[in-house]
Amino acid sequence: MKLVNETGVAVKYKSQRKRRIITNTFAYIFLIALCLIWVLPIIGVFMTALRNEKGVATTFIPAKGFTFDNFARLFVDKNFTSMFPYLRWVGNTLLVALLSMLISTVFTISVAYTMSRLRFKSRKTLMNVNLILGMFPGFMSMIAVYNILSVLQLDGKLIALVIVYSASSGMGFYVAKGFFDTISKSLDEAAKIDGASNAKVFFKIIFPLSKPIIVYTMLLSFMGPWVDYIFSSIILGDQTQNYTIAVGLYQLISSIDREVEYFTTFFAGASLISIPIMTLFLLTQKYYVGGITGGAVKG
Amino acid sequence: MTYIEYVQLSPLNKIKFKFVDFFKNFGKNFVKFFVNIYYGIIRFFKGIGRSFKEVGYAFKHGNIFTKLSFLFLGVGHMASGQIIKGIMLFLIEVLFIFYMIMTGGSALYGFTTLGNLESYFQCQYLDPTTGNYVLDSNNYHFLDQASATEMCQVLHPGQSIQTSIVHCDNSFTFLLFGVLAICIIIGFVFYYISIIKGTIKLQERKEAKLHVNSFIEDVKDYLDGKFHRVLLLLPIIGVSVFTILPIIDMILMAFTNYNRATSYPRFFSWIGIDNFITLFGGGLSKSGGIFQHTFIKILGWTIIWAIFATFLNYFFGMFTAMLINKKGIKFKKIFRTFLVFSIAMPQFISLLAFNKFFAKGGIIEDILKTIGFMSSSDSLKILSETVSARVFIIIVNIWIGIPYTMLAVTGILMNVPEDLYESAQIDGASPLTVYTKITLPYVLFITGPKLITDFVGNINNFNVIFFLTNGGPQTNSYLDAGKTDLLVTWLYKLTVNKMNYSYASVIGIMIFAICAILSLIAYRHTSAVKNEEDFA
Repeated sequence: MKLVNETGVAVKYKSQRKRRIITNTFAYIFLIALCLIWVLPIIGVFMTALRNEKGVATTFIPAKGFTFDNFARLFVDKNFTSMFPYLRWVGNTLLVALLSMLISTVFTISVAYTMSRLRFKSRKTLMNVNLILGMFPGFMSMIAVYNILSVLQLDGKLIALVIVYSASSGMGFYVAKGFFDTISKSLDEAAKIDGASNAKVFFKIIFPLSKPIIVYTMLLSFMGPWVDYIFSSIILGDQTQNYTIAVGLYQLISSIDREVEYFTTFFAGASLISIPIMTLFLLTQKYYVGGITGGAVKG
Repeated sequence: MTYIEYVQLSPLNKIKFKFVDFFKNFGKNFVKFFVNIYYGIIRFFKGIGRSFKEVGYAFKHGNIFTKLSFLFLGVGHMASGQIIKGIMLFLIEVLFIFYMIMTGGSALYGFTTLGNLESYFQCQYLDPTTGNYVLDSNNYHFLDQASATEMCQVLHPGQSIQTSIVHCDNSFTFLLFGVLAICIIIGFVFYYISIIKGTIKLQERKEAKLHVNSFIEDVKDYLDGKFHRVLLLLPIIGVSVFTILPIIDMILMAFTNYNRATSYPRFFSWIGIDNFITLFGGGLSKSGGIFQHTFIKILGWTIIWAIFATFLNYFFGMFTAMLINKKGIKFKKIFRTFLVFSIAMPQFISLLAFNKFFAKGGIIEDILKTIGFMSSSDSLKILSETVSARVFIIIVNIWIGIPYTMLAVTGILMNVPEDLYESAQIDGASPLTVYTKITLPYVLFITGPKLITDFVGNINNFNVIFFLTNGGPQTNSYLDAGKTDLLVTWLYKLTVNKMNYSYASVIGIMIFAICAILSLIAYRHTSAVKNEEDFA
């Protein structure tokens, strides 16, 4: 801001600053209140996990104090782990998440690159078909997918989950395509003049430049299996040993009897997996922000 | 208005113009859409006609090898020196013929009937040595239970007998393999035409003494000119098998009676458009009347929900983002991180937690009682009353949704040209003016398309409803749905809990129609924005 000599303007500037202080105070109050509202439910989850008494109905401040028994129960209690193998569920989910992350990332990146940089006859048609397919609700075809998997004799198996999460991942290429669109075309052209093939351009030039979008795609596809309940519950059916963490945890509160017994254990298990997921998310947030704003700007 | 005039408008007027223009042209665009579909179909058939013409041309002008290729694909290629490619092309033809003979033909027939035999009965008798029922050694199949019992008594007089039922035809498998066979046949026809076209081209190259690619050169071309085929092969196979095939199956299921909860639900048959007649024509039968009633009610709530969820999240999110990005506010990063917690936490945990905390006897009830907002004999009824449950869902959805909008808007706010603000400040504009004349138009302009995609996303927002209320409070006036169910959660309940697949498919098609129309609007809008960028 330049210095202004006229008194009138200077006064106006001063009053503007005063007003800014007042509005900022209100903004702070509002934001702090907002943060409280946003954090309270999460604190609630962790507090319930530490609670000593069982059941849903309870007082706000735990009557019997806090304990780590709920966490211990997940791993140590033989009666519990024979019915609900928590550690195994975590392992299952990790396996599915890693495999589907690999496949999804390869699929998404190759489709996005193709649609963004390569020109061929059916490109427009494919993109329009993809747009139309995306408008069908995913749940509509869920039963048909299940039936196809059972014809292949894969229902109830973890490999079926990997297939479901990654087979159609090529459809979600828009954000990555937006990224590739921003890389200068002159790079490709220069390489092509030097005699590089399309494949060489992709692997040697574009691929090393695409770290952010690859991380974003990997992150998104890795998180999928940890937070998805519906698809995994339908595909896994009653194969308790093969459950992913979301389906398994849901079993703990699936009936009133179980809810009374395992309510706090459910929250202990839930907190244990949400801590790494939240940390992962917060650490890689900038990629995510780039992803959604990119998507918003590109529509 | 010309483009130059449009570009010269102020940002706010631009939006106003867009807005008015959009509704003014809505009807026109709607008609245009169908006209485009019509032209698309015409183009499609013209393309087929052209293909046949080219095939005819190949037959007329081809040499003996090209003509032989009509029967044995690849002969022409072999004659032109592409031996390996020719053999591969021929092998694919052999595979196709083999498939058609082995399963394809019967799959096509099965598609028309969806199976003939629902189940048959067998005769069992009590084996005195083991004490178990054993299957009669003749292994006769009976179509009804009475004849099975009768025959069984004749076969094993004086013995204790029983009949057992055997389900045989799984109509879904017939449907699936039928669709698969049709897809394979269509695929082969395309393959056949393109190979024939390739053969005549190759022959002409050979006759003109031009270079004919060797096998290695062909393979190398897949890393350059045809690299897109390599990259797209697996993703397209994945999408075809696990998205397109299921969608076709489910669409076809809307034309069957795949909804019988009794006996053997996997046996169904074609019933034409009866399900749609039930939905639109309504009360021919009692259950049909309920179906229509439920659909209209749930559609209404779905749209109300989508409007509230989208716009509340959008404006609150924008407001929060602007507060955080306001000049002079410190700890921006901390505020942002706190808000993002609700995205970072897995939804099934946070939503279930909300559900449990607000349930009868949950933590919230205890807090309200401790403060004295509620008498200790009452219990919290938020989730059991229709209106309060609906409001509750919308509010919790704000908790989930604001951070998304906040993150998106933050990114955009950082891109607002700084000099706009500086010049406004020098001109002495009040904060309100700066907000309404610069910030708001800028953000609205860029995030406009996001509103429509969010709206479509909210129509299909499954998690929030499923975990928060699971559709409840329940009601008997709906067909297998609760008062807060959206179309998608109703669809889910109909399929998973009630096995009413045909009605579910009808609903799925209706959701598709709604989303398609809305996305069309969004698509048009974004394309307009893109054109403008091209212009600038």
